[in-house]
Amino acid sequence: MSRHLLDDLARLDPADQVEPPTAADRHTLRERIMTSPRPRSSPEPQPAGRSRVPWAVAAAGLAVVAALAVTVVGTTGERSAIATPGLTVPVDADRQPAADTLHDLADAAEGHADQPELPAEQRVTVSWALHTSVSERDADSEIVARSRQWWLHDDGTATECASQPVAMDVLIAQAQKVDDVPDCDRVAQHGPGEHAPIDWPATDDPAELIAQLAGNEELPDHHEVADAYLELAAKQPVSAHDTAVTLRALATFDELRDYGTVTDRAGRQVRAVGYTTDSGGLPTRRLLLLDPDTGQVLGADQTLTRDAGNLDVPIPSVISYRLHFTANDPPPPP
Amino acid sequence: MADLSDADRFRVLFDRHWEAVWRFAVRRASPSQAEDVTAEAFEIAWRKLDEVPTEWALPWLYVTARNLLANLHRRERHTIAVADPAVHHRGAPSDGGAVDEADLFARALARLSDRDREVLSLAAWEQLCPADAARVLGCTAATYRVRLHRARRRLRAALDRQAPAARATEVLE
Repeated sequence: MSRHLLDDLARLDPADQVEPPTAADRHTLRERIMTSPRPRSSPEPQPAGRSRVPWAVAAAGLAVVAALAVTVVGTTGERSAIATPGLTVPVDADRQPAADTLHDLADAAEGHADQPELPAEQRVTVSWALHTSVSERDADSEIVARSRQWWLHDDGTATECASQPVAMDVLIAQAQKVDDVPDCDRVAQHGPGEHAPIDWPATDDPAELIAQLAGNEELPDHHEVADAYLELAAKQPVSAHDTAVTLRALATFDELRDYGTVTDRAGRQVRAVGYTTDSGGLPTRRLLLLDPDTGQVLGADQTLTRDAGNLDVPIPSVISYRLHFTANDPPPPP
Repeated sequence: MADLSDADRFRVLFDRHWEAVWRFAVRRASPSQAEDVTAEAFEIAWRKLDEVPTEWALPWLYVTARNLLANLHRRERHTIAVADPAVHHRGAPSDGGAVDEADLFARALARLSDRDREVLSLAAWEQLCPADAARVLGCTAATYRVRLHRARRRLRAALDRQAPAARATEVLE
């Protein structure tokens, strides 16, 4: 048996034991299908036929609430500048590794380990993102701003409150009143399991956490671990224990840099750590904005640092950000 | 009648992915059912061609096939179950033959949950990256990674439990 379990399993594929239909049968099937009627256009247009640049989907893990959809770039040559938000932290010289800061924040998180875990409805997330689709002919950009809040019920169902599409400063101001009954533009009911929580590794060992996030044999890099953590924090409140272990896992990566204490878009003092990656095709600085008292993720943002590609935005430009707000006394569902 | 670009696009989609979708289905259903499910998945793709995402057309087709399989199994009062490699179409693993690698895996897989088998299948047989596998399962990539790690660990443990029994069988033979 080889070292790689999945390789061993791959060689034992049960589909290899079955004779597939012949090429002629497939051809007949294909042509038969194509004689069947189909609607000329979908009732709900999707972004098919275009390649959406990966880095523009920072908030893709969140349910689409939709708001402020503004087509900025229409056809070739017809462009208007996109007003992107100001930077949380300047793009400047290299920063020091964030390991010590992350361990300090992990210590702070562990100081709250005896506190009860937060239910999901104590969390409101506001996000802003520049979404861009690039085709051979043109690039279409739209700004998507939204706010959402969830109530998870005992039977596994969930209620979602989506914001009114208004300006971001209004959304943020509304979200800061997280203890108030929200003013929902849209209320959606979700069936059991549709808003299932993320199954985060249950371990005290940062190395084990990284290994579990790998899933496969190849260990994830700093970007993948940070991305998974941000995905988790966007979906649900993270326990003090999981926060501490995850921050210590992130501290093992030299690529994480310390950007110091900064003021976030809601006026909160946060600790910023980040890294630069071109995994999405363009050099992008990703920041995690952490609560200095608890280590919890309070927000995140992404900034193009050196190249805007097909986007008509200045360099540097923030292309997405989000903020999380936590209630002390959460309101009942709408 | 569809215009030429739609027809061409569908032909590319069909020719590129038919076999993968059929293999996906035949791992989870009988050969005749797999053919029906595959055909129906592409019929849906044809009707909803505008909704098929270019970048992850195959995961989209897997999701469609998976939903069809779920309906099929629901009608038959079964859950979707990924086939065991040794059991599937070539006899049970305990039919008296030598205990080979496929038998070991079959026995180990049989000890796992349907969810573990599904996660392992998407990685080993469908060969999907975590992001695409997560799309198929309707979960996040992080959740998929964790599930895969745990499923691998449980498969390894099940194999380790099988190993002494397998050696004993070999000695007896």
